[in-house]
Amino acid sequence: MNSKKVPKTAHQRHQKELKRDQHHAIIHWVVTGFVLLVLLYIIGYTFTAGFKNLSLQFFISSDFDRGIAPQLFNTFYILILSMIPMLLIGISAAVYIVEYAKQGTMLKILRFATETLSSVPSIIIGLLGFLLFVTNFGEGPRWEFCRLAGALTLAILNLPWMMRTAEDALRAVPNSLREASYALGATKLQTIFRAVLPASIPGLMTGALIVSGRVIGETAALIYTSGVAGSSNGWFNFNLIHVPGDTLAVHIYTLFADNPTPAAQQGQTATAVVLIALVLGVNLLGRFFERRLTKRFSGE
Amino acid sequence: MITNQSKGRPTRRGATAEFIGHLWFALSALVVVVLLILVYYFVGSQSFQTFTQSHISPADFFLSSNWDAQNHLGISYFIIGSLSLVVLSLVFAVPISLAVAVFISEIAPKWLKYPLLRAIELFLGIPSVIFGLFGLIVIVPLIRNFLNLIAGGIFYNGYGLVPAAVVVTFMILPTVATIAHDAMQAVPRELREGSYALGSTRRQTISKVVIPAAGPGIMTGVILGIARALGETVAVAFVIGNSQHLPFGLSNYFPYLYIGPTSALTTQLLFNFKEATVGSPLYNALWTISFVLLVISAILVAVSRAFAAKRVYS
Amino acid sequence: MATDTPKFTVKDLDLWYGEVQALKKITFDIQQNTITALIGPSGCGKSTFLRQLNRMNDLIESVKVQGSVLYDGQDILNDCDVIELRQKVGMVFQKPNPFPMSIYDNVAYGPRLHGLAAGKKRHHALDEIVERSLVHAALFDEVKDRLHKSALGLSGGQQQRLCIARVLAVEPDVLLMDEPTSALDPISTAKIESLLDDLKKQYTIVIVTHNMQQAGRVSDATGFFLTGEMVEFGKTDDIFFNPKDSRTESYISGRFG
Repeated sequence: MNSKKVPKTAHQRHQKELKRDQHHAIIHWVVTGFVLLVLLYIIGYTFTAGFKNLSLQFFISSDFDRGIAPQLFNTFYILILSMIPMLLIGISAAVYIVEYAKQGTMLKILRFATETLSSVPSIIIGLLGFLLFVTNFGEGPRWEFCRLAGALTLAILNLPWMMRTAEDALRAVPNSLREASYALGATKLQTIFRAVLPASIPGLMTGALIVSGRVIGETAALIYTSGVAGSSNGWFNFNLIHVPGDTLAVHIYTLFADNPTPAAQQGQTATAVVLIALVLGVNLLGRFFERRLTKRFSGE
Repeated sequence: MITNQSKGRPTRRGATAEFIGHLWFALSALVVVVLLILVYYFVGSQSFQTFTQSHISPADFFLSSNWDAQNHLGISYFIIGSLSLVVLSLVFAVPISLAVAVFISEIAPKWLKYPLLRAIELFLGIPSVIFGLFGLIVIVPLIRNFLNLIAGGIFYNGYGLVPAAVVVTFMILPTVATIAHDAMQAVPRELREGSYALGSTRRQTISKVVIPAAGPGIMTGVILGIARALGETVAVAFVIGNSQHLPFGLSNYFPYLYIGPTSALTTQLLFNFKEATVGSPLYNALWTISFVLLVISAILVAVSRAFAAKRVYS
Repeated sequence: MATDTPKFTVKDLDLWYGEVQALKKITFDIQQNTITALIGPSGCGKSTFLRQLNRMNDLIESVKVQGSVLYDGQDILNDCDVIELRQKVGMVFQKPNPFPMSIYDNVAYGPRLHGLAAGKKRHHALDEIVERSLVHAALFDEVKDRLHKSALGLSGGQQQRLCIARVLAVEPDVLLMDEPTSALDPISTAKIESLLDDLKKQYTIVIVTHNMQQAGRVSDATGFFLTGEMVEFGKTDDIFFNPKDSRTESYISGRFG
């Protein structure tokens, strides 16, 4: 008998289908496990490779190959410089979107603008920063490669993200709170400043911390704004517009681009350990606030 | 003043404060619009100088493969490099991300779902320079050894399209997976029950009901992945090899397919910008490359919005 | 098989959600080609019981069961393949749940899964199944011109009849209906009720309803559930006009629930 001609019985079809269902589940277990292992391996490998190159000396030396003191300083300096305008504008814009804007053209334009701006590759925002801050629109110098230029560029790059997270935080505030405030005779502005914003602080903290993680980790937008070098006359200074300053992330890139030696690789992995620890720490702290937020509004 | 009180504005001074507050919030919201216009205006106006000031014909610029900072500027190989990078990254990343999303949303036991999701989300925050470094010290040697082993000689240095795509895959996987997961979670439980009640297995329910119903949502994730793959610069720069060659070609030795150092549009910007003097043809050309990237990402946003509008469940 | 053999024989069925017992010692028979209505206040366990007849409760992780349910004499709690069971024991839900695809594809979903349209003229056979099922569910005339349009464009009542057609297309033996008209307007409800009478000739139907008039209108037998127990089961006329248990009487006369 030719086996091809005989149609499968319902029972055979069914058995085959059950087998396929089992295989399907197994494949998904395996793939997910594999992905998780690889992602953990990326972090684990970098940590084990870099950890042995860490020392106290590494944190306090300003020698290009042997220490990251200037880069640590610059990272935090640029972080603070960029977060100030970003928080101010980002939260205010989110207040407008959540508390003022009505469904309509304006809201559509804002959504479109945030989405489009956040899709622009960071290297291009970096080149724009060069054009606006380092040079005078390309016509001669304005400032030099400097930390303020880097910070403002990062503020442009991450403003859409800041707005989105702040919007989430404000939307998480229950409407009953606003109504209660209005019912007590508060004006809109009073309601925003005394009821809505205080209630959304944990959410805003989460947003700010997640965005901080992005700021700390950004490289491409800084290479042509805050520059790839450190200051020549001592790294511990707060000069905004005349002194370049490389961050930890940029430092890892520079060690690769300018000086691919074994010594550089040791410095790279050690810097990577510090960078990962910082970014993960900031993100985990953000999650912590997120959890507090859920507790606050669910009353648990 | 009774009329003012009825509007919740008890005094004149309060009304002024309300107005200033409103104005401040509205102006802050407009900043993002102004910034977007700035980006397009400056990048756009600079980019056209390639054709107006440096007198390079657009056809030559986009179709020529000869890139020589002093004499001739053609970007076709970099366009091919970027497109190949996007395609290969998607080939790797989409099936894997979908499998992870399906697993977390549909298959994993309850206790495993939340920790898994959080673990995947944690990788969203890892900086691209870390992925680049990992590619440089782990993936490139791995590919170098593998290719040289099967080719039977030392022909490859391991840099190029493949390690770049691997690195980009790791970077976009968490994004695509979490968005696809959210889209599947938005599919109502009743649909799954309806499918099970007709006697489907879990595989059939997932592939015939859950994934199609979550389709538009999954696609927005994929588009976001494309945008990131296209715009990623530093991580790719570590491993792509930075050479003016096609990403692949024929070769005389096994596997008869040359896979070696190449370039993408973004890495070209990164490596060349420091050598470009303001106003030179090279400088203008780099702005034109930026504009090309800008236009493609704008198109991707439009496509993603079209898919988002098609979502049935959200 | 003799016609008076019960379709389902339920004996001492207990069910827990985690630590909470939702069904207690349920024992009764469901006869072939009849409509059995299950009534009772919200949370009494009638829907949970219904979902046990095609093992939909398997989808809830915390559910534990004890006792026996025989379907055509076969134990469906232990020695049973749920996929095969659900083909034979179809279910219509409270909220219409059409898949986000065309009307045709919704009805063809089951037959395609189970390979019911086989052979050379597969497409033709599938068309026939779809048409027959839609006719049977009294929906065909309303949708014949837009079979390939999205099912989500139908009205609620049409969607529910589509879901019935979707179940009929896999050629089941039993129809379980979980408050199938509670989300519908009176006209759609009437359409589905008259459809039930028609379907009874071919199928055994178990319907959960909180609408007592509906139970009285459509069913042959009625079971009254209260806090996880089957208080009383019998012919519908007996339950409604001559209840034995005082709790049944107070529920029927509208004193609680």
